[in-house]
Amino acid sequence: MRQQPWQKVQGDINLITGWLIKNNLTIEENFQYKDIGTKRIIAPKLTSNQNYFNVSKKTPKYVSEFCKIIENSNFSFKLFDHSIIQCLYTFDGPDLIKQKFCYFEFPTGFDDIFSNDAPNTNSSLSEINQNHWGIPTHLRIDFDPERYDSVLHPKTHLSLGGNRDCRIPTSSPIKLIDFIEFVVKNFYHQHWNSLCEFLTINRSNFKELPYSITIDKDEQSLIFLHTHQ
Amino acid sequence: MLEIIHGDRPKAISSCLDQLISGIMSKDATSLLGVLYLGYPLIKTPEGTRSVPALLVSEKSGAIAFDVIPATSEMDITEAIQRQDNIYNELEAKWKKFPEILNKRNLAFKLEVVTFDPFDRIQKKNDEPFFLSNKDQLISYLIKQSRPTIKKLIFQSLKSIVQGVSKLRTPKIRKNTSPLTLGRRMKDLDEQTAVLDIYQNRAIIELTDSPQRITGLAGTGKTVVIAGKAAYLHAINPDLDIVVTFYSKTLYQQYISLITRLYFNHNQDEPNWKKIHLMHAWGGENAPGLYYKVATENGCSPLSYREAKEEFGFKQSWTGSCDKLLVDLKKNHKITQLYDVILIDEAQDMPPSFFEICYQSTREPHRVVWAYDELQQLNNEEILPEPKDLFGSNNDASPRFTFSDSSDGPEDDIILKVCYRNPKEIISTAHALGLGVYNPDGPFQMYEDSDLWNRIGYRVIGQLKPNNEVTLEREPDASPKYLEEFLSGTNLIELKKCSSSEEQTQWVCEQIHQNLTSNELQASDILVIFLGHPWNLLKQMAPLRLLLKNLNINTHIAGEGPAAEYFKDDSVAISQIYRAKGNEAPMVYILNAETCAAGSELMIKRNRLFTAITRARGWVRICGIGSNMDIINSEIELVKSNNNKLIFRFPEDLANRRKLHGELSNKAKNKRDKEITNLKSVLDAIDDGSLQIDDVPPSLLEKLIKASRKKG
Repeated sequence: MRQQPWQKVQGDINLITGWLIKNNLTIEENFQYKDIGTKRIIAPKLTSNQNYFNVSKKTPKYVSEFCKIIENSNFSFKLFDHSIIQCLYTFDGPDLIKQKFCYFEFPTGFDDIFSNDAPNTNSSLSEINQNHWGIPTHLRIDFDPERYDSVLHPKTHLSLGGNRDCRIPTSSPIKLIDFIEFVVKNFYHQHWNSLCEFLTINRSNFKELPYSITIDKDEQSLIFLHTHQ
Repeated sequence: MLEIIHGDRPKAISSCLDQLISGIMSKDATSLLGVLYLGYPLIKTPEGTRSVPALLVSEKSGAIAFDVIPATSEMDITEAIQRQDNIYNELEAKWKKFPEILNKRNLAFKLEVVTFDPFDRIQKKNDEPFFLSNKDQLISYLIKQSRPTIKKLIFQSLKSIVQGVSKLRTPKIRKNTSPLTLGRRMKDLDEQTAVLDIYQNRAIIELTDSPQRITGLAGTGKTVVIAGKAAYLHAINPDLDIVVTFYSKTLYQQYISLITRLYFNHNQDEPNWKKIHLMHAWGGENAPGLYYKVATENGCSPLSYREAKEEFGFKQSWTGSCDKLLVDLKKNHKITQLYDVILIDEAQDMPPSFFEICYQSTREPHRVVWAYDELQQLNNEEILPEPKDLFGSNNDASPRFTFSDSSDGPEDDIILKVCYRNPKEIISTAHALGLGVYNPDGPFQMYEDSDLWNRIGYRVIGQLKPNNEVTLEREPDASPKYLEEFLSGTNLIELKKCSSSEEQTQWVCEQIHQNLTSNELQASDILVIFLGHPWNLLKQMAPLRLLLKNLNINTHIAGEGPAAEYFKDDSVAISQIYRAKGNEAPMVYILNAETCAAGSELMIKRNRLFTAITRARGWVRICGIGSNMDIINSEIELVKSNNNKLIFRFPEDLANRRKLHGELSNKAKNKRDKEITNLKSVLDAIDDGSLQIDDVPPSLLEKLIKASRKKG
């Protein structure tokens, strides 16, 4: 029987999870596959563990956002340094109508209390923190054609930080494996160097959807990210 | 025998209650079996939540609730009868929710409400049958009224319902389990353990006007008691600022759920989290913590973990921070008293200065309650100082706190004797390995105080003095009988010696697969504890996670990062030992146990093994690699052949042993590592031919051979 597109994505998620585990990058994976009407959604399985944090008005917005995500288990992968990756897919029948990949870096300086009752489970964690300026980053690649508005809201775009107007056009949606590779390469350089496996990933194992080019002519005249093959 | 549990005791009725107790306890009435609760349970009244002044639950008399009229009361008969009706209706409504104590639509026992009015404040028209004016009337009421005896089972259920814990643990949903599978046994066990025993119940309700100690081994219910105490105190006095504090952050979720449930039992409402302060002992800018709060409120600057680690080193970071804060606080003339009650769990992990900080931060009468397990300290080899030395001293150098000598009233030293979590076999084995009882050279760690052993449920035969033969044996009532019954016929402890890491991974993977496919356990019933260094956890557990993933079994590294759930549905928890504390699971796999078998710092290593083993509610599989596993095996076999007794000669050089097997200084550690590197380079040189073996003096070679023979 022919695989449904979401089944292909499921297969890829399994492969990626395997790699992340093998390379000591993830400590928890959290996916749920559910149907709402004709739509099939792949998203984190949410739980409620509210009021864990002491979030006040003084708490930086990024930190309180991060706390909320953690409290609700709104993550797909929890990385070894407690940073998180979110993946969301929405299918309508066989069509992918929405896709969101997010990386939230663990707020530095925030780890104090949480690591004081036990040693870290990864010896390189402290090295990462030592080399950090202390300004955590959030980045997101969205594919959301429904809200398309040329240049202002490209079908696929990269958002950086918490600025809602930041939508850097990208030429096409990207595969999850590419997003993970992008994050690991740019945020976990030391790991990247030792992750030969990542460099030699046999892409043919991945069955992810053939993404088409989504960038329009006006957007191409601006600086954009070339993401299509 | 009639047990008395001293709960809330409003001053106005205190002397009336004394008369009531003396009546009930008088010789004529001693045939009563059961429990007398004072200030318990709590009921809703038009004026808010209040406690029933006294409730007698006994097999012979059913349930008799007492209202008590204080000497200064202006109450009239109508109001007094209304109060009786209110108590009756509230208790009946509360209890009717539990089918196990019903007979069709009625309570399966007699519930009576009487008013005890020793000062005759109520003007009665004629002889009201439910008003008692003095001790004699009380006694004759108790004895002469003929009542049907309650059936034993109903009495047991009633006791547990009165104690407000019948819904403490929601048993997991386990569908279609077949008889005798591990899953079915756990199901049966879960249904039993919801009932609190009298020790726990006393510990929850009784509160002294002073600090109070609660001692118990792992699995005796210390966390439940602390949660129950917070819920009860919050219910009787919602204005109190109550702190619940602990060191392992994985306890946070347990507390939220326990306190919510227990409070709901009293008040059918959500607790007010602005008055129950659930706090990590340390804390920081983003997370509530007691140390942090006390420091900032008093104008002292708290140290973050990182700063403390830099100043005092990893091991001393917590103690150093508390010591420093206490010194800073003492410089202030006045310390802000922020709270009414501070309940400390895992008190064995706190330094003495933390206790004094708590004492100083509570309002009179300094209600600091500490629950601790003296045998469960992962890093410290020192046990906490005597209670009198914990809270500092007065101006005249006398200790601020000593245990009271009086045997009346609430107790300030409560012992939780019954270990509900671990079957006898597991707990004895854990102690034997933890202390090295069956180590060929004798124990390397031992407690000399026989009182301590009694407290944790052991009978001591022989004197705990150098060179004496001593036997320690679990008291029969220190483990519930049902535990052994439900688990009988299964292999509680199994040791697996592997020749390689791959073999260990393979074996554990197969076992877990079998647990899930044929033993009817669920993924969340299984806890894998890695005993190697936490730094290597991710790397060393990756192969197991991958193998399990290939079998569609999810796993997660448990309790890492803020607000992380320890156990997750449909996922096997994999944990380092420090995070495993305070958690329990039906099936525990201990991996790389060989790292805790021999070598230096044995006390610490064996302590880890002890903690790991005592996580098991049912079964423990101790796995490891190489010949070190033989050491553990032979010690386990001796526990078995001695029928779970710990029999040993008390060492004469205990202090030396502690030194020898205790924690190494950094200098000593470095020296050890350097010697190993030296030896390795010598052996490598022989291997690659750069050092000819014939050039090595024969005497050195002989020494090496001898040393390796000794190791076997």
